[in-house]
Amino acid sequence: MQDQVLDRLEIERERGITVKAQAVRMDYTAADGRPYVLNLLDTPGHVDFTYEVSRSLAACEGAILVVDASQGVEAQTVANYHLALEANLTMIPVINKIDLPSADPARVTRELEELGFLPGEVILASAKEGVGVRDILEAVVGRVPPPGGSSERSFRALVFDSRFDQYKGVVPYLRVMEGVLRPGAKVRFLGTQTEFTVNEVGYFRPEPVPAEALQPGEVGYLAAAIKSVRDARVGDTVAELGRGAPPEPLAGYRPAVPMVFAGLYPVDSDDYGELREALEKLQLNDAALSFEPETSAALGFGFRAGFLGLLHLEIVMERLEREYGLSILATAPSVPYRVTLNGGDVLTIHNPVDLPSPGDTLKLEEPVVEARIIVPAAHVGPVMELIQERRGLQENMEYLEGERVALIYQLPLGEIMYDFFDQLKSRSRGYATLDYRWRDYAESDLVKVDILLNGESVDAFSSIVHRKKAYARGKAMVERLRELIPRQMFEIPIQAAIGGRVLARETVRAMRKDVLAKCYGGDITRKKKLLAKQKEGKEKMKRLGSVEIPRQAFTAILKLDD
Amino acid sequence: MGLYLHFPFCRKKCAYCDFNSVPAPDTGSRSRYLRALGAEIRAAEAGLVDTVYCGGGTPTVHSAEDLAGILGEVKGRFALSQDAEITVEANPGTVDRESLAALRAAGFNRLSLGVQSFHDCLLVGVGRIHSAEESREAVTAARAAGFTNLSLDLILGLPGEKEEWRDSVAQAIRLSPEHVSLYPLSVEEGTLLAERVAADTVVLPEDDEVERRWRRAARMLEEDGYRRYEISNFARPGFQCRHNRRYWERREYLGLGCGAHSFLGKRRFWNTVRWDEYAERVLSGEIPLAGEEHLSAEEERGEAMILGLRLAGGVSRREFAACYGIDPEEAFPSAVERLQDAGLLRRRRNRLVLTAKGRRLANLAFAAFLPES
Repeated sequence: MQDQVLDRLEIERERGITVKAQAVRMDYTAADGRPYVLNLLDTPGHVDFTYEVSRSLAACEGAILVVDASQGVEAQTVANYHLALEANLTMIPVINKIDLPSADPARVTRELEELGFLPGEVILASAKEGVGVRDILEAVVGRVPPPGGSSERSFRALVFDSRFDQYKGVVPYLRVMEGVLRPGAKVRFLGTQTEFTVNEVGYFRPEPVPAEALQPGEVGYLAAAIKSVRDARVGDTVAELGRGAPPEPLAGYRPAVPMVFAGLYPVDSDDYGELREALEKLQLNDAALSFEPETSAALGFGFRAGFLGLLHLEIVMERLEREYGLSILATAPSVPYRVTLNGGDVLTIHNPVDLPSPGDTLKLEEPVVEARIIVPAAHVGPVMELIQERRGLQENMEYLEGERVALIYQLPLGEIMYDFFDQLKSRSRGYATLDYRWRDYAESDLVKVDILLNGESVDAFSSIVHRKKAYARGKAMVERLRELIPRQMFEIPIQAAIGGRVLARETVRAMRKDVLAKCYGGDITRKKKLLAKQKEGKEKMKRLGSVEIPRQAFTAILKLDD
Repeated sequence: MGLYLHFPFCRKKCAYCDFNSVPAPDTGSRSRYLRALGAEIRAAEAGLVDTVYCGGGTPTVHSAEDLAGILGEVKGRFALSQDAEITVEANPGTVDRESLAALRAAGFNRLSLGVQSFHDCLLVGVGRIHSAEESREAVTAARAAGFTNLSLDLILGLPGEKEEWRDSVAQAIRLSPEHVSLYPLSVEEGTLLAERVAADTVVLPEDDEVERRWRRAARMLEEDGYRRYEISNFARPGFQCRHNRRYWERREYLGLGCGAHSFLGKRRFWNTVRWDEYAERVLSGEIPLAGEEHLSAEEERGEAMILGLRLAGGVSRREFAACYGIDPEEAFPSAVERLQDAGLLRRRRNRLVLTAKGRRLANLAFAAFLPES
């Protein structure tokens, strides 16, 4: 058997993370001798997928909270713990990987006690060695209440995920709340108001296996030749039509709201069509991914895409490159900004270049999040310093078991976009963990910093920052660009400016020589090949007006250290 | 027609060298190679030859007698014009008064000495086998042997070089050769030098600094009456290398020996690179061809620009039009315009020539004349 059975995407296996929720149905004969059917959902844990996790939790009666025996309780653990608590789930705390030499189950048990668990509740396990597995299954049988729901009532189910299948179309993953679903039934998705005729139902074992019917409490799928993933959204309710009063939707549904935007451009402009197709295909499986065409003077034709967060963006980029063989240039990620114009109109912008001029703007707002950071007390100073540099407002600070501190801050989401994780890790020697949840928009003194090359503004390099940080950001950008732009035939001024006001300036000096071109002997063929190679290298550069920029400069500028 | 003969053996491979050269094998192998070369000469199509260039490698790892023998084969096969330029390259550590006299007597009338530097520590650093003293002696010996057309190669920017270049150029000028090739050191892929650079075990002078040195060295030569006629080549009036000019003027040449390149008609072709394979093929009666290229009209024009612009006189629009049926400015309108705007190219009377900046950025200028990929 494969090691990571439920993490199917290459990227999941490689990174050891879960991106897509997975389901599996198991038959289990418990110590009491009775047979049980257990439905297990494996969910992502990352903050980007909080909504997906919350829907998976809404589909369950209990949750197994798995904590790494050496890492211990992280910010993400606490966030998911709270999600499970809000969903009223029975929780079974498990400490996994106790086989690791660095495992410290005693410490991690104390950390779990802090969350309110009793020492006797905690199960020690090593999935790798098979230790504790039976204890966990017994705890599920013993502690988690069986699902309710009457089979007499009209069918309703929660959609907690969906997947695209080449032959069956979009296949929603369901938790049946009540009623029975059989092939032939007419169903409606209550959020999107779309209707379909079911032609197959089934379970996950973990491969999909067709069944005669889905009963209350069961987890499975339906197939109904659904074309678009947007018709079967995560969190929506699917119900059978035709019996009595119109069905009520289950609570908690909301469409995915992208919080991070970036321009995606094909490195080779001929690949525009392929990029569109690839994005459309990814979207079949990923309702949270949105995109619309965008044109950049610097980068040509591409798309402005919306993501749940930075990890989501990274995953999409990686899948585009790996699964679709596309070479992509991404602009700096940006958060949505809310602009109130003088006339009172409110608009949300997803691309810094769209920011209206200050004269037309009454109010500018940026998204803020509630950030929870858990850090060893020894490193709390530098971490607090970082958050303050990032305009964080402290809301709470708790001392935890094991000399650790939980910091709760209100933090502008845009500040997390720029090198925040790396800084957090480096200032805490890798120990700090972060989780955040959406809070609200808050008014802020924001400005747009433009980058000018040879006097011309490069749209792809524009960014929106707080006025107090504009100088530092502008300076860092021009310095980085000076390093990245090779010398050319003439001098190139690089400027960072707000409106017409120049904040910082650097110069790329003109190239003086390119090694005196030699040509010994009669091998002209080789000389031509070398020239062609050199020329090809130049063609990997993007021409902006008269300036040539290596493509990697665009990517490198995103990794800007503040 | 020009005739190039390749001699791949050296006493030792220099750190920067990416030519088709190998440390000389035993006597038997060396003479086997010369037998093969002789056979290829005899099998070549006869024709009128006015320049012969024996390059390497180091032709003078072979005895003067052997080289004379090869030249004899050439004379037996081809009609050599009365005033033919017959060059032999030599490493100063491989010649003496006697051998040079023998070469001169055999008919070689131009000697190209790989001096590179007059500073022993720099020479040792790149694995040259000779000393500065041997270079001076070789020049004296060459003069005594009757060579009146002498060329010295110099390299600037050798690892560890500081101000030595100035003295090297001054010493070269004092020896008063008719011709000087002045190259900045370039690090070629696959060489020992490239490995050392990658491993950070050598310190090369900054590019910009080498460029400055090179310009000063060029000025020193020009002040002494040498004229730069090609990007890296200087000569007293009447002593430009006629053989090398053929390459730049796209006139025909036949290359014989391993890895040698030929250009005849619209065809460029070349021999097997490895000397042992080459010898095997030739001696078993095969043609040692390794590859060829047929030039389209467009490629011919591009070559004419890339090669012609190397020369101080640049490309004559009239001559270009006579050869290729179109004015170069019409053949390459955007390239000419772009390079003129950038100050790399200018029109001088009816010729297109590189500017001083254009010579420094020559590869950039040349690339503009390659077909769009």
